[in-house]
Formats: sequence, structure tokens, C-alpha cells
Amino acid sequence: MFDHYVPVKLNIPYFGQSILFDYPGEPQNIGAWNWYEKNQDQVTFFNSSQITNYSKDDFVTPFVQENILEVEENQVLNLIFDIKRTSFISNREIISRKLLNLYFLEKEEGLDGFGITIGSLRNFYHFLQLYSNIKIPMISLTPDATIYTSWKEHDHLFSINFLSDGEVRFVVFKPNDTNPKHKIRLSGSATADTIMELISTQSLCDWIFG
Amino acid sequence: MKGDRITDNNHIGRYCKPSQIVEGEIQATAFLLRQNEHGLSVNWLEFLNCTNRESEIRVLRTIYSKKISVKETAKIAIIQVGQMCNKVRMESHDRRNLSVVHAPSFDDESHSEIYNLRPDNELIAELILETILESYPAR
Repeated sequence: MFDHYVPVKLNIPYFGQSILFDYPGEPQNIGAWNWYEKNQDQVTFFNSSQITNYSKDDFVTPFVQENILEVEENQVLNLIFDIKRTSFISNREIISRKLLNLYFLEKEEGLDGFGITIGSLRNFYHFLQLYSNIKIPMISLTPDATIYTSWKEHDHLFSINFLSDGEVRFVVFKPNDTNPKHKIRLSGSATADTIMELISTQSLCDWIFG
Repeated sequence: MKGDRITDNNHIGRYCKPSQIVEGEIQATAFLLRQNEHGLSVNWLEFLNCTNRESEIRVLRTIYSKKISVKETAKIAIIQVGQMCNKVRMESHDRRNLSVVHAPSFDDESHSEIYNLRPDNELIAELILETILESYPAR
């Protein structure tokens, strides 16, 4: 999504406003993150009608409804940015980019227009901090906008749904080595800090960790 | 007819949002319910009375375009009812019996729903995912 840049404009259904995440004139391939890093203290909102003839100066104008900046949407963006700059998380660039992409997608077509559920994102971030060397998972969003990660390899599957309340629900499919005609299928709930125990007992480490 | 159970040899199409697709691959999240949902929306392909799959997909695209803003990367997953129900019955922990029921709406006469799912059914969603026969762009 961010290999080449055009200004990204997102509609916020509540207020008929848009958030602009990039602006013209910046070198290609720097994009949204650079703008966000420079302006993260004052994420700037505009009326859609204001964006027709913009200049760089337009983008330092703070949005009039400051209270909105404190709600979930802004927390989500800040948290995604936190993931990006948490240096000990391997693959943090790719993971944060995937999350931002999902946030945009869900904002555009999610029924509630909230992007990613903040509690789920916190839960996922906690997981990343604990298990910082995981391989890059496939990341999608559930209908309730919680983060769902999957690692797949041949006939192995390990999926985690990061719920808003700190719990995780997981699914494991793996071959049954002693009874090859059958498959092992596990599911259950845990917390981000205990899921490691599950992984270690199910011999999943080799294909989950990089 | 409304309330009819769709039999095993029939097929359904499920609209999958871009946020449920990773690198072109549909994810299990496309088959999870929202917290307040009781059925998973699908379309009954045979009801459309088309002569081939391509025609069915064209009709589905038209239906979707009238109801929602269909994004470029959205997809339609095609599943045979019997394969899905059998797999879930055989491989879920509680031998779950799914049912697919015709639930037409004023703007979508082929609309149907998969029942006996719950929002916390990640394992069943993964099983359903494995029964996808083919997928098509949703627009």
C-alpha cells in the first residue's frame, strides 16, 4: 500500500471530517510515517471540502475538535506508531505497516468506522513485546475489528484472536505424528503472556519464531 | 422460499472484505460472526438460476454493488454446503451441525444464512476456510 504515495484521505463518519495522512511534495516512498512522526502531537483533520487546493502550510492547522484526538482512533494510530518504533520487536516495520493498512481498510468499510479495536491492539502489542522474535504473521481483522493473526506452514496452522479484554483465543491445527491419518486440532482461550506455554508444548516454536 | 434449508449439493458465495484477505488469500475471519449476529450472510448460487459459475458471479457482483461499496480487493468465496457442513460436523470439538437457510431480503432474493455459529468459533471458521472451492474478485 505504501510503495507509492498519494495523499490518503479517510472519512470519519461521525463528524464528516477527513484525516490526511500524507501530503504532496514529499519524496516517494517516505510517505505517511514521516508525516505522522513529524506531526503526531497534532494529528490534523480537515473538512473534505478543504482538501481540494492544499499546500504544505495547510497541514499544520490543528483540528478544531481537540477532544476527538483523545478518542480511540488516535490511540490506535499512536499505538501502531509505538509498535513501529519499538526497536526490539523484529519485523516491526512490516507489522506496523500491515496494521496501518488494516486500519485504513476497516475505516473505509467497517460498519462502525472505528478501524482497529484499541483493546485488541494493546493486547497484540503486549504479545509482540513478550515474543519479539516471531515470524511475520498473516494479520486480518475479525468482524468486531479485533486483530487475528495466523501462521501457516504446510499442514500447520496457529491462529490467535486478540480480544479487547486481554484474553486471546487460539486455534492450532497440526499433524498427528503418531497417528498420521488424523490431525490434531486444538482451540481455547488464554492470555498473551501465557500463550508461550501453549506454543512450547505443541512444538510450534520452529515455525513461529524467526 | 424463505426459511428453506439449503441442501448439501448446493453452493453458497460469501462476500469477504479486504480486511479479511491477506495477499489475496481469504482468512478465517471472513467466517466469524460479529458479537450480535446470529447467522453468517451468504448467497445461494443455485437460486440465481444461472447456467454457469461466471454468470452467478456476475449476478452476485451486481447484488453487492447495490448494497455496499465493494473494494477492489474484496473477494467472493464459493463453498459447497454439504462439504462445509460435513467437515465441521466431523472435525469440530462439539460435532457442530451447521445449517444453511434461505433468508431473502427485498434487495437480495438469494440471501441466505449459515446458522449454529457463535462469535467465538475460531476453530469452525478455520474449518470452513478449508472448504472454499474457489474464489473470485467481488467486483
